[in-house]
Amino acid sequence: MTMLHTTELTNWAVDLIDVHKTYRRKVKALRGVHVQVGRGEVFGLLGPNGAGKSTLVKIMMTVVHPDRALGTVLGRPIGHRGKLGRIGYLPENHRYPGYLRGEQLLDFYGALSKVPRVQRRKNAAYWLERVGMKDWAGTRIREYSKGMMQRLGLAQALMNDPELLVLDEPTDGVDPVGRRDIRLLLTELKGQGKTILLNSHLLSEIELVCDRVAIMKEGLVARQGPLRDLTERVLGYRVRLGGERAANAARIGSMSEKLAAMGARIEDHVVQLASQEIGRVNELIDLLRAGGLLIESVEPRRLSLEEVFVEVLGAGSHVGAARPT
Amino acid sequence: MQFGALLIDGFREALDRKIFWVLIGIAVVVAAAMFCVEFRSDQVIFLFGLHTTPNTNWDPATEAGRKGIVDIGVSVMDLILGWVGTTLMVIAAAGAFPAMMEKGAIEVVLGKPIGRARLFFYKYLASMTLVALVSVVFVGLTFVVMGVRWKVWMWPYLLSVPLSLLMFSYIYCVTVLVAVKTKSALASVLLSLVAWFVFWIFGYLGAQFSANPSLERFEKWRAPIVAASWVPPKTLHVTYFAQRWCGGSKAEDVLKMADMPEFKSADMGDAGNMVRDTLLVEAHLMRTDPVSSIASSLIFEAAVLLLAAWSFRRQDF
Repeated sequence: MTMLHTTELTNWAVDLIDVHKTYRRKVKALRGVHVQVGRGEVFGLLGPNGAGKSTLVKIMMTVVHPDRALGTVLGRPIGHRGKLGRIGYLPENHRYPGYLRGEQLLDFYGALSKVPRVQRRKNAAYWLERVGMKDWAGTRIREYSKGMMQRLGLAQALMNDPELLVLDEPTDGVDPVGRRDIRLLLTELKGQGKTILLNSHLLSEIELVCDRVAIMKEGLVARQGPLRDLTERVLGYRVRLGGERAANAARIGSMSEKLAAMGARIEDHVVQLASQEIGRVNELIDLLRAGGLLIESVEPRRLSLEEVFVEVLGAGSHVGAARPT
Repeated sequence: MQFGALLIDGFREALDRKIFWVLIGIAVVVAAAMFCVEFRSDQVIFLFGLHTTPNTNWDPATEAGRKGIVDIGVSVMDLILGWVGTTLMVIAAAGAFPAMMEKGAIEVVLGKPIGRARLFFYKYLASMTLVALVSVVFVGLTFVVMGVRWKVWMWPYLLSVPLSLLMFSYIYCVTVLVAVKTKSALASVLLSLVAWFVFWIFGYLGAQFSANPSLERFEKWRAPIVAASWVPPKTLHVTYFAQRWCGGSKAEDVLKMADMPEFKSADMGDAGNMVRDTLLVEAHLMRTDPVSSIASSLIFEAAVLLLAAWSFRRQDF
């Protein structure tokens, strides 16, 4: 294993460079990953199963040893013990001892994070309340549902008031209300200046909370950048028509051949144009106006994160891992 | 703070396990059973008068009788230090490492600012502390019963606590190594028992070749076997140390007979010679230097623990 360190201070909360990991000399989980997470931002890590997301997170958290890794986490080399005290971590499929009660669990992990006793009590009470688990504080964890475990796990990750929060599938098993609560909490934490690294399969969730994302495939970062940049590309335009529907239908019928020739199609009072050229949009508007139709709005149709994801993955890709050698 | 947290967690984990309560239950049952027996000069009374037998061996008023009672105490001590007590303690503590290393649990712990080596040794010490607690309960209860009920305050009996912990640690180092390698409590218990048997064989052969006059004809095997017997933990020695230090009549008789030159050289026939050889081996075991026995065992134990810690440090989870 080669661990190369740099102690250089950067503006990145997480600056992972050239991270490699091969399991049992066969499965190449990471093949030179570069990921940068800015301080105070919410960063989404995406990718299909086996793409290497969890391995990357585990390397950051010293759970897995990299074959090679350069870079820093909170300005210190990867694996720096002291800095782990400034990170909150919620692993995927976490399992907590069933014999502990909610408040005992927070106290235990708080102590392992070296939070002083008095502060632990305060933090435990605060976070149990904040994640909606106050009434369950004295109940043994073996009685908890999956969603409750996720909430408690989140509280556990926040016990040490971390600068960086690493969450691996935080809404797994959580009902829609719980998901919204977690989303609101993440937004609030971002407002407090905390950096959040979110590893999730739920693209809609990532889209709602993340500033930047990285899409991983076969042990590499296939695409990385601000969410708005990734979804900036215009796929076409939507022209919404105004006026009465019946009258519009008759007018559109008379110009249907011309619309088809332009590549436009009509869907429920909206004309969709699959062209990215602004000149074609203007031609379409002219045509519609000449036909006596009123234009209510014109808006570009951009890529959704799901479309970006599918595009990066390529058609027919179901497994994100690199082939074993 | 971190050790305290792991210790308290270990204690909570133990309270949640049935085997912990089984151990405490055994301690209470043994103490209660001892309490139901009363030694008087002329008779032994069982179950508060339900049954009585004449007392010829255990008169608490005489020195010989008191030594006989001490022998009963030593038998209880053997129960703790022997396979029953140690096996139960190994079973009780075997789950600690596999539970910590379970998928989903270990990630959270390793994500905290605690080094893997430190985590390993803190967890190990927490397990040892719990076993010490069980041992204190067992020894404490039986010691008090012997003192209050039998009027024999057998202070060396309290050595059972460190000796049982020592005995347990000889085996538990293997339990931990197997647990780290396999993450299975069952495998670690089974392989610990196998290792214990191997240690016992080494100790047994070493003692036989050191002190059994019938094996003198295998002189060329003596040195290598005796040397090899000093490598693994000397589990066999522990119970004999306990017997010697408690000073019961049995230990006294064995040592006295072994010191008689005519006893060593007498031909007592096949059966008699076998008994003589056994006594000579027992006397040899009682007289083994405890410092070198314990120190060499602890060196082996430390090596196994370091190997386990090294393996734990290197693993990916």
